Amino acid sequence: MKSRSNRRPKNAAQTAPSRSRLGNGFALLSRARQQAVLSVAKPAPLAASVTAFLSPAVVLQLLLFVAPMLIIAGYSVLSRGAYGGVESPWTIENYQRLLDPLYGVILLRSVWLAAVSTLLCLVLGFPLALFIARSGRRKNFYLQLVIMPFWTSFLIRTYAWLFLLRDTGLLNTVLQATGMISEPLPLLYNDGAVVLGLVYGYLPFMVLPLYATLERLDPSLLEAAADLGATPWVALWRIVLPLCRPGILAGAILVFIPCLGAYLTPDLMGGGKTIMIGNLVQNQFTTARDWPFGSAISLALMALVMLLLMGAARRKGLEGEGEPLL
Amino acid sequence: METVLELRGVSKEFGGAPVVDNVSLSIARGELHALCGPSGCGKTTLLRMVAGFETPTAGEIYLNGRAINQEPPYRRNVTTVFQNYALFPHMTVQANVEFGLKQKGLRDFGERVRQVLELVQLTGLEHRRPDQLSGGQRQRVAIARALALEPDVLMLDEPLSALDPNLRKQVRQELKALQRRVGITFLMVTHDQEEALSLSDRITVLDRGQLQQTGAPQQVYLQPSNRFVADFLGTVNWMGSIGVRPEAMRVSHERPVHDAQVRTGRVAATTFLGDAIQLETLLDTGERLTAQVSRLNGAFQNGDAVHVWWHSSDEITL
Repeated sequence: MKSRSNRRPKNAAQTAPSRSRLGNGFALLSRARQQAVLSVAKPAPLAASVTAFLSPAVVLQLLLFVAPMLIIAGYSVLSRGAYGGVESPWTIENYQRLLDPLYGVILLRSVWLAAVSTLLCLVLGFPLALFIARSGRRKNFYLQLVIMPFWTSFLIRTYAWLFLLRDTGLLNTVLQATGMISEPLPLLYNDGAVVLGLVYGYLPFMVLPLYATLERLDPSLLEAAADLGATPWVALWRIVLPLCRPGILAGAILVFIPCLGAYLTPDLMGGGKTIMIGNLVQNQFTTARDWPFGSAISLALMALVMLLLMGAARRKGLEGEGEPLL
Repeated sequence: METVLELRGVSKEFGGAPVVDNVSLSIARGELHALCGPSGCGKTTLLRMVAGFETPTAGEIYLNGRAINQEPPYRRNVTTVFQNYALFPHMTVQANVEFGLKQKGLRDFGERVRQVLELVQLTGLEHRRPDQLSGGQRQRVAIARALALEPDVLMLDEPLSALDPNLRKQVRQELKALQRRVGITFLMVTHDQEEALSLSDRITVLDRGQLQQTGAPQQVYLQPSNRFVADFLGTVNWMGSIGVRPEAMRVSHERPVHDAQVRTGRVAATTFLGDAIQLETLLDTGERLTAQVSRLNGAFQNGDAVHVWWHSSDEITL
């Protein structure tokens, strides 16, 4: 649709012949750089070596992803075994059960909690990403801080929240000791606690892609906006946000999908009162011993996520800007 | 002449190092003024202080007689054509040009946008995005965007540096014609002395943050106030405190009949420049002089005994 052939390289000014000696130096430098890039990119890879490099990944994918998926798909159309497992005959009853309003409510709640968590991650993550992108030489240090929670198990970090938030936890104890409240606040085992846990757990997945797009944003665009009379807020709204859409979309997908399938956070912080679809799946494979139904839910969840992703990809394709997402 | 922009003792330090050092300068309304100097001379920083992207460490900047040091960039009625153009990549040409007008809360700017785009010959490209334009077209969008606001001062940061050399000379003339038509004050930054000399009404030469000289192109070229200005604007044969530019030098085999300064020597090297010939001469005194003469002045061979001469009125005296 659009031709990009006339796009000029950014360093055109340097490659253009210049009268000054310094200019010639730059031209030489950049020519050397181009040659270096060429020599790296040039050798055409042989089909055989491509196969050789790809095969470990293909084997891993087949063994650890495709095969289990096929097993799950098979389980989902079998009957429940008396002591777990699966038995014949074939049936589509497991999928029919999904239409039960009971499960619809759980699905809707999961989507809602995941959506709220994603939105909160965006609202909290955007200023943080902007701050990091603007902090010059300290960028890497701040990025390390964002990634640091991953050094500890997610399970342990979630337990840490329990110690903070439970009735006899740190927060309630302090508030009671200072006389600000007489009864402990119900900080745990509700939807709010689940959202808190999800936002806490997945915020880095929002911050990192946002940072990547913000960091690439040409600062002179913001100067141009100010130069043309735009206040910082207008510049944020009309320049920064639109140009960060790929990052926002990537972050939203990276947060929304794991939130939708989350089971640990709702299990621990929702206290079994707030069941999300991930807990439903887990229950089928453990206490309910209904593997076929658990498999059916898993596949249905995957299908839903695929549909959402395809929708996002199509929207992006229609806009025709940036790299294709899928 | 009415002053539109005035700098009084403006200085800027970065980490204790002065980048702009006590610069005072008045720009008249409607003038095309070039700030020139080698890279690192502070010319771009000066421009950025007028735009409001940098705050002076000392001194005041006045726009229409009003001190604007404390004004944020978005309240100053000056606009900038950025070196990389800084067009908004997600907006069409039209939206880029309308952006500033919308910020001013103007309505019914359709006609103005049309006029400005016509002025820079972009009619018909309104709905293209920057990545669908050539370098020259993008530059004109940047100019149109800055012009649309009818600023008190329009600033251009190295406006021709990103264009290829063939286009550069053409755009240079177009830029000057455009400035004459709209009558808006242009303040331009360039490191290219030829560009500064051929385009501007007045030139300010900067070196290491300090103002060296301000004046009309002819004045600064022919009567430079110091050696730096003289050397920056072109080649000079220095003989003590007297300098002669190569194009003011004459070379002949016979002794000139004119009343002139005459030296004798030999041709050391000849370089064919196309429109002229450059002769390196070694004088009997051991000095070397460079002359640039028309190829119609006769043929010279290396080793020819020649007279090198010039009129005293063509001397640069410091």
